Amino acid sequence: MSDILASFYRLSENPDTLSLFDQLSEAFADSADYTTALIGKTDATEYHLCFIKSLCSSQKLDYLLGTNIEGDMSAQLERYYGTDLVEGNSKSCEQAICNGYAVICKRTSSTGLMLNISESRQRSIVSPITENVLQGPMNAFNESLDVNTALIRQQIRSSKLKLWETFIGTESITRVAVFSYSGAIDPDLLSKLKERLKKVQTAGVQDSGQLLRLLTTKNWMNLFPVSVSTERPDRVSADLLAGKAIIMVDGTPFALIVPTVYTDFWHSPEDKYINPYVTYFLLTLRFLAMFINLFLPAMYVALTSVNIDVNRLEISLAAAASREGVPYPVYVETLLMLIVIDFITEAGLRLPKSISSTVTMVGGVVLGQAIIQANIVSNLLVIIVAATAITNFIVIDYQMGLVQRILKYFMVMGATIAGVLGIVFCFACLIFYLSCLESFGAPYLTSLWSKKRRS
Amino acid sequence: MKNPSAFTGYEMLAIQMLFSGAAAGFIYPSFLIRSTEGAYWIPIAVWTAGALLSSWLYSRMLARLEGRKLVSAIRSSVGLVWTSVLFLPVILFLIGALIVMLRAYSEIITMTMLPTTPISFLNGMLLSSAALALAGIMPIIRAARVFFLMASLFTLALLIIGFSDVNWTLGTPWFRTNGDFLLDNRFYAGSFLWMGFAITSLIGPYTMQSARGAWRSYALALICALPMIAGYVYLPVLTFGRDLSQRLTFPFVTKMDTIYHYWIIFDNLTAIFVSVTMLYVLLIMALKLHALGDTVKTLMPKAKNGFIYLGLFIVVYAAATFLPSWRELEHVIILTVGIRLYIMFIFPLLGMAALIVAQRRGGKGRES
Repeated sequence: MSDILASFYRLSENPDTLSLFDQLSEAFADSADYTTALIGKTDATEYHLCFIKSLCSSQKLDYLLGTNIEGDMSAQLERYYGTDLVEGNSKSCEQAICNGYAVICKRTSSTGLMLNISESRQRSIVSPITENVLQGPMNAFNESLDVNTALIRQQIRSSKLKLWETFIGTESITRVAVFSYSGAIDPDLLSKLKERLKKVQTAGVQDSGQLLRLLTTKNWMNLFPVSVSTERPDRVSADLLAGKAIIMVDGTPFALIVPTVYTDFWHSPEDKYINPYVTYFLLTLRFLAMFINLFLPAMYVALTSVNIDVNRLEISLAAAASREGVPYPVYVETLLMLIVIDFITEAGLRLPKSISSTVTMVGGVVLGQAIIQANIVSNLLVIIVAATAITNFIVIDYQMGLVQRILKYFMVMGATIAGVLGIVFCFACLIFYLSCLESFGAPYLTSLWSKKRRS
Repeated sequence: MKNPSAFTGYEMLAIQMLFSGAAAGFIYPSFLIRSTEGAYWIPIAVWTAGALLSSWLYSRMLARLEGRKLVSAIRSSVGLVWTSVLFLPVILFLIGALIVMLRAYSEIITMTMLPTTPISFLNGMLLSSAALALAGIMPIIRAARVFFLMASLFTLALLIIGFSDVNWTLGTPWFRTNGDFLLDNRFYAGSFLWMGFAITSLIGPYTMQSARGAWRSYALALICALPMIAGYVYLPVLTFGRDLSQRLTFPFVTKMDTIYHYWIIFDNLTAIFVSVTMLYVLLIMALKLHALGDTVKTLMPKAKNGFIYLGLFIVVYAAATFLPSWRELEHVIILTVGIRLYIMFIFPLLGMAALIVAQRRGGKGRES
């Protein structure tokens, strides 16, 4: 306590410049939650405490300010316990106040003492929302980087787990952390990643997805996500051990795993916790769903309008019979239905859960039945569109699911122009495009299997 | 990729298998069936031996590159003018091969699946290959790995299904030959199928070890591709007989047309075959364009990559579009036999000689 008092008396004064108290009052002039409190007075000067009350711990403040301000100063300061006091100038004090610190300064001093009484507002640790599993750890990251760091460290209790931090955003000054596991990660990848993070120029970062967009060059080329976004500590720790780097942004529960290859998006965290044969079966199911989602509507267009002879005669006749009375070309009815099903999906996602089920029911059953009866589309197409929508939800990664939703239109366009060959051509173009993509130096279209085996 | 590495063993295998798939399915069978009255496997075996010899000569040449690319190594050995003279036939061969492959595939599409679609529109598929070629060798290799997995499965399935309705007696004579194919220009016209190693030799740096590895992979790919090539030739013969097969433009495609099984979902297997072949063709055209673009770039270092590939695209597209008919295409293939034989057997010897001369000069220079 005597050290604190000694620090008080040592606070420097510069009569030529505006005092720290005045500078801070000017800087936070229009901030209603900026508070200053007189905490002590001597003959020569007054001592003020400056802080933003919305960011500070009320409990610590209570200890600090609960006593009579006319009382003995040492008695008041005995109630503060926290990190060491640091003396700072106006700029650092201003930043410290923004971070939830309180600054004690003399009325006329040019520097102040910073007390850490910040309290972060955060959710408690809950189950993952976007990556549900039936077996495996049930905790998920929240918006606090410190909590998330603790969750990762609880998974890997080793000194080899390294953490590098930086701040991004000229205005938001957001903490960004890069986790790596020494010995497993490629040092070249890590240094390049750090360099890229240092070069990011933006006013503020709110989410890891936004940071990813800033990190990736040639954004116009990147239709596919180049990083897996996860809220699961177990997935993060497994990938760290596999030699990947993890980027976490303070204020968001989603971690970025880099580098990422195409097949990573098809693995569920649960895959490692269940029987391997079941895992292979589920993987096959997912890839099958991916192909059905991509090709089924396009195949319908190709086989009923361009390459009618390719299909079995019975199916072609059935398709023709179901289209009897439909006034539009096949591609028009297909595009119409695909757009309608995307409307329903989007409406279901954005609405509250209690209403979204109604929308799905109305959209799926009522609209589907009505649209067939109105002879706008064939009933075969309704089956195809329903199957396409279901298979889209099998995609593990949300971002990849969104890409799949776009790609099926691309395939339908190919089928409209050149039938089955158009689909194959579009698929080939898609593979060519994927083969050109790289995720933080790792080719997108290769498996990291061999690298893992070597390690 | 700024520094493309030579192919790994698996990548070489995948690319060479894709090359066989792209070249063996539609033009080659009719040439081979018409070239002999004896057993068909004998000309195939002769060409296999020829391909192995040619690739061995190439591997000996590549072993002397010491981590450099073929064109740049020869350029630094004999200078720009002699390199241009040496590589002019190679460039012509590659352009010719691209024109033939593109037009032949467009023709097959017109004849089987899209009869009313103009050839000029179908030839536009070259655009995707040109874009991939421009992207570099690594994207080509990655795409090749995916295509190899998918296309080889479909091809294998089609070949197995192709065994339905075959009559083994129609394949006779099984062992007899009088060597008549040696005097038939269509036998030599089929040389394009056996030149996969010549094309990959133009791409990527090689060392003594990687050249040996590449040759081994090529030999393995050749052995793996032989059943496929034999299937493309023999399955139509075992179904239609020799005389009818000789009159067919695309014997294997016609064979696919005849297959009907209740348990097969699709009625028209030709569509499946043509679709799978598209994967082979697009990738191999990209590979050839890349080899061509790389060679031209080394000979004209100041030219911009984008312009080189744009120029090549325009030349190949225009030539493939303005070829009047399928028969003209066959004539082109037969007329360019000489240039292909030069590329297969003479070019590696000349290249090796150039590299040896340069090495000796370098050795003498160091001694003096």
